[in-house]
Amino acid sequence: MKRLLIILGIVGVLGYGAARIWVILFPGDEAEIREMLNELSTAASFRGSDKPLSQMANAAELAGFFTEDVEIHAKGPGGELRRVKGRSNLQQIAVSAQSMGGGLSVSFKDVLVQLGDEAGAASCRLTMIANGLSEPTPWVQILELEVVDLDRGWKVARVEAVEAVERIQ
Amino acid sequence: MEPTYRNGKVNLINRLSYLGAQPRRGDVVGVTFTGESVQLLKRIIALPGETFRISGGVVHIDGNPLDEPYTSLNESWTTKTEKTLGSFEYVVIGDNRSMGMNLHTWGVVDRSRIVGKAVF
Repeated sequence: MKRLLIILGIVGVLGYGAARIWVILFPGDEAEIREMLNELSTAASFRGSDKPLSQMANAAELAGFFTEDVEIHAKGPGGELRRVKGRSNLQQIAVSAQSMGGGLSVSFKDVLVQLGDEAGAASCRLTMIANGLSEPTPWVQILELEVVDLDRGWKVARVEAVEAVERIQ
Repeated sequence: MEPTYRNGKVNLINRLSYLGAQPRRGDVVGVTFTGESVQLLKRIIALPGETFRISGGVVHIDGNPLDEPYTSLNESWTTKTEKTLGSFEYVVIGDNRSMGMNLHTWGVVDRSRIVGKAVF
């Protein structure tokens, strides 16, 4: 009986280890998307002290997370609605934002990923917290993202800002 | 939620407060965004089934003005329409209404997004 328990224990440990290795080697769509969003939030953050060349490199890295024809509908911290279409426009805005100085720290919380019925598409819903280093309070915004799996990995195809509560007009 | 609650201060939410009871008008509650990591701190001013509107800064519930001693009125706040709340809907709003109505995060939330009552 004792021997059987030991064998079962070893099989259990080996099975768990094999499952962990499988997940690491083949993370699956949801894990890949979460990792991409994590990297995106890091790329969206910048320091106010970055040099112009570094700012351009940061903006190019950030733009690389989006599709060529990305559409972004988002509200700025002042409440004004901004629409950005195309990766190149987004990159220019990112450069402009960095050149204004101040720095920004972006993080995504409570990320919900819904894989699409068709392979290679998914939608995400998350809470973005953007801390402007010169701002007293953070900007908190719910974002809905559509992501697609292209040859080089998951890219963001659409971003929509969503009201935290249903407004009454 | 200023002046009742100051920005940057730690606030505690009692998750057990609504286990055997429903949220009440005047309660300051935590409201989730997409999860529980980030929450809004807002005051409940209208309950399920009630009809809500704001006119000249004054909140009206079922046509009657609501006394709100915890805030100073902003006369520019006026809703264009009345809203009758569903069975699980609440209107939440902050106490600091010094800004324009569209710059303030307020409106209807579902009961499922109310985490608990603020303790202090």
